[in-house]
Amino acid sequence: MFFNSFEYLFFLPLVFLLFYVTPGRFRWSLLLWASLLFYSALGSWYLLLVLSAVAILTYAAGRLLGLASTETHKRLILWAGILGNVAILVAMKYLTFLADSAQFVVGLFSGQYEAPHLALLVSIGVSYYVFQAISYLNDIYLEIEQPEDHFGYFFLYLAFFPKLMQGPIERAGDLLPQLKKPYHFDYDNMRFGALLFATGLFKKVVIADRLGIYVNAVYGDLASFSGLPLLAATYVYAFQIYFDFSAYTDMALGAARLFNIRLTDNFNSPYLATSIADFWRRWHITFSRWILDYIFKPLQMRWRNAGSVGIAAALLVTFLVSGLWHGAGWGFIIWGLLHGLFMGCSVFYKPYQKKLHGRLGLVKTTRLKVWQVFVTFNLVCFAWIFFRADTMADALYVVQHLFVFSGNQNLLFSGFREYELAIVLIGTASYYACRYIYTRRVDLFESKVWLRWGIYYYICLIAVLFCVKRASGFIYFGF
Amino acid sequence: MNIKEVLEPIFRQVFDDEQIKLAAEMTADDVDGWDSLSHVNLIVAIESKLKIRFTQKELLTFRCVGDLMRASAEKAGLPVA
Amino acid sequence: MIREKRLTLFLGKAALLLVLLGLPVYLLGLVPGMQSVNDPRKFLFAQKDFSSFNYAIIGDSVFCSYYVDSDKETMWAQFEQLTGKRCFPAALNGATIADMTDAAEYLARRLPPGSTVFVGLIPSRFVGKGIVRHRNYFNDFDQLKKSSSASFFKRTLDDFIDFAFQGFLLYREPYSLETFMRKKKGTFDTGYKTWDKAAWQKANQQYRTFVESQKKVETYIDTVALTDIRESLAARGITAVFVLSALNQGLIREFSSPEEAMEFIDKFSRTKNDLVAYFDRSGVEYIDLFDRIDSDCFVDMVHLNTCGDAVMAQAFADYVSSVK
Repeated sequence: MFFNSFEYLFFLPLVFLLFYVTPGRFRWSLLLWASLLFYSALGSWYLLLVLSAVAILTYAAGRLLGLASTETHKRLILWAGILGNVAILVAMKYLTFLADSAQFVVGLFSGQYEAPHLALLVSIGVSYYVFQAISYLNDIYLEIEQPEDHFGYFFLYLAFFPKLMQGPIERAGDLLPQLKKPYHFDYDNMRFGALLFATGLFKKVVIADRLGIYVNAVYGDLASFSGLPLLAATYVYAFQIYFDFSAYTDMALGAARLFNIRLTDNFNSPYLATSIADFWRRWHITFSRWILDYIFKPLQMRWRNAGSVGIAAALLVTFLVSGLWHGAGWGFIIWGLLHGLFMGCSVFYKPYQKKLHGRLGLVKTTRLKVWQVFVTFNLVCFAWIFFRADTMADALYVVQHLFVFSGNQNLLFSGFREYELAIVLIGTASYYACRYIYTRRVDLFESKVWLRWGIYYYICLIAVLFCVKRASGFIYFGF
Repeated sequence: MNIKEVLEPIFRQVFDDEQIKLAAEMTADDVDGWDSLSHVNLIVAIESKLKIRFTQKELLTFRCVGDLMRASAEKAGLPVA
Repeated sequence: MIREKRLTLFLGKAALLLVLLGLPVYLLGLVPGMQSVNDPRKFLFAQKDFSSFNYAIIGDSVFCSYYVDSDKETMWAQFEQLTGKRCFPAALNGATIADMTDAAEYLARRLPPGSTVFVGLIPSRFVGKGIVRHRNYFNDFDQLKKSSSASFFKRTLDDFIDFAFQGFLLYREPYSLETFMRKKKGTFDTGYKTWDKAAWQKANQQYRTFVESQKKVETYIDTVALTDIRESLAARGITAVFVLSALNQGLIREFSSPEEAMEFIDKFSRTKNDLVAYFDRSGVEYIDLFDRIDSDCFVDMVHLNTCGDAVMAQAFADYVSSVK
């Protein structure tokens, strides 16, 4: 079930209540069953099989790693575990892509034979918990973590429903101890969790989905647009995907907080980044930390004698993997490579850039910071074009027509008029106002009743009244 | 010559800071400018100076300067302190 | 069971919040219903009882009879004058083909069996490839679905509120175009009657914009959608009759070079002919108005004024008498 569905709004409190009345030592079991039920509610029964397969494989590999004595054995088990997981991931996500390619090749030879058509396999969540599993095995190998003996807790570590569908990607060292800690009711956690969840929902149904109307209208009929509307759609998409994904993350963190579990936040004002490297420290943080620790650092170490070229190559490979992880399509691969290119180039020009800034007397000035934020934001938006476009042809069309100001240059059209724009702007402004109030100005839970309830009421009311009624999954679902 | 005496100048050169004094508990957070890029430069500099090579696993498991010193000392055949 | 007092407190507060939310949501949910009554282009959403209508028309703004001066000049009023039968105006401003499919489904359930629905298609909008498949009226149809499945209690309450508000300022009699209509400028600044040849400058700009955007449109006929519409109506014993509207060819010739005009008109003629061929093949009834509407009966490239609506009403009336 989707986070922004009515079923979830019933599911979550129900699970919490059951969790509360369950005796302490069975609580993990309840959460696990609830998580499996949650996962199966997507309708694809085989997803449970996949999750179980990953859990069993990784648990076994972890135990074996702990028992292995020689370095060679350890490395063997590690790689077996990793490859097993990767094989499952590839099978789930890229099977259709591969099958189509295979079909093409076979067709070249026989002409008649038709490979059985594989319906697109739904693969929600797999990318996330497979990555968690791989990080688990790596951490055991590097002796940062001990293998988990209790299969139930380990399974729950992978399957915990608030983070099952779209992450955050949690490290064993962060999540397992929390799952094992005995639960005691914490009133503030309840309030904070509920509020965080509600603000996430608000962001999703009022802002993100509404921005999506605009973007979908443009990308759904690209041939009719050129110039300003395309530019607008590009920038709007950047905000749509940010609000969408950060909304999901808030809902995940809020739901987990009810159970006294603190998950890792995924975002830190990403569009205020001053460079692409900084962007990746602020966007989808758990994912970028993962690729940093498990792909970039090892590669960088391996190629350390190749100097800057080695680093640039490591970056390129890392971001290629990033693109592939997001999906089996050329758009994602190009998007990943673009980021890899941006990062790789910066390795070479950074020293010169520093000298230039020094000579112009710009170091640590606001002007420089504003410029850097502006440039970074535009680079990121450009890359998003390839991420969003349905086909390469579409992406290229957009790129070619961004500055061709012909045809209708109206930014608004039927389906997205001043009314919708006003809701987006007011919604966003009020969202940040509420956030500012309760993170900076005042400790919300110590403040006056009318302020607290005012905020709760406002967020919930606006979310209900102005939600976009088209049912839509979260964007990062498809990964 | 103990390992500390050998490594200190390397640190000072890589991070461009003559004030650095090595201690076993030091980590990357304690040194200004120590990120993954300069970390690689540091490792390369140490390896070429001491004519040693760290394994992949060792490199990924260093937690603090003490780990680095111990591993370097062992490989180079120098006393730690 | 729940020993923790603060948990009960928390649950109590959550329940209170839900109750406080419920009230305004309910009240505000009634407003869209009231607004639909005012807007002649959204009659579909306000009408409760369709039993007195044997005919209906769906489509987009071309079929809304928007550019007339009074209720009596609307297409459906003229139709009723000619045939004595009532035709329900279910066309929606800016409706996409997906919206029309929704409208057809909705009407299929509401109209008496044996009725006829005129499905209006205009060549330039209908045939774009990659036509925006999204629905402009998704929310409205969604609301309709929800209210039709509402409980008896809710429906009674709604009826009562309708009755109570009848004398209220916001509420209007259906079809009172005079009270609702604002001075709607046609594309060529016409004032409803005919397009203004004198206002060349501004008109030319708009014309060029239209032509340029239409040039990019790849003609493509969405037979799937057409079949969907036909079948959802036929399932309830309702006949679908497709209506092919026209382009203002006189205007095109006036503002375009002869070559461009010919190319432009040809493009849409061909599409129209493809549609006609498709209809013939599938044994579907249609009314072809493509060459039957004079330039003077338009307010802009595609929209009709009273005279245009009269032509349409007459064509429909002819169809009705031919069926008998």
